[in-house]
Amino acid sequence: MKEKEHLWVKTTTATANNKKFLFIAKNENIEPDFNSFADGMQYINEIIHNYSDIYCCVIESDKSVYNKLLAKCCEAQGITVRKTKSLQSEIDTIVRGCQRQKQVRQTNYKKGTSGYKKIFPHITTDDDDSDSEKAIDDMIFMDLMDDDF
Amino acid sequence: MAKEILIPQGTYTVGVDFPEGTYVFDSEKNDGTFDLFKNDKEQSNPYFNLDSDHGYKCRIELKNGDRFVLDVQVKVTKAEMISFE
Repeated sequence: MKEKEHLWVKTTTATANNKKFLFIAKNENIEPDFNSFADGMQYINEIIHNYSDIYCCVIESDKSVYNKLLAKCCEAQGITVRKTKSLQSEIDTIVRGCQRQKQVRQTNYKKGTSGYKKIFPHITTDDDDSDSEKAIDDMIFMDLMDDDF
Repeated sequence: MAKEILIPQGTYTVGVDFPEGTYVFDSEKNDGTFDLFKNDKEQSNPYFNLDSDHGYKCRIELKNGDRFVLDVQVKVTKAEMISFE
């Protein structure tokens, strides 16, 4: 899918923890009006329909009317909308969250240590097998569309 | 060709989550209502049946502070200016 420079939004997708995120930022070069908003919405709808598995839509929020209308229109399509002041920090947070989960899974405990025994929460899932281990290794997979960010 | 957007049902405040201007609202053969609350409470509240048997598309000027409620998804287009020349 080709990014369109004339749109008032810029988009990129990322997959983290087997969930696909759609990031939407404002194109600073274009001040939205109704017509450009309509073009942008059409483009976003195409992305949502092409990637049927989008879990969450992250919008770089400002107080503009069109930004709020955009959030409403995305929510209406059954997609969770998260607003953030800094899209880059949100991307970092998502990636860091995945890395933290990975570290918990890789912690090795020593047996027979004297004194108090520390008890760590141990999370197991039904799909704790080699496939899921591989899936976790592949958990962070970013597929930037047009290097807009 | 006129640009159009689909907006979901819900409550909108003009100037906050919907831009000021003159628009045509069309529920596209689905029965629905458009209920407008003007900023000035003494004004009457226009109420439209959208595409019901005896209804019509709604063309209305929206100003900042107005609030409208939709009970169905509608197609919205920017209304063209009417010229009397």
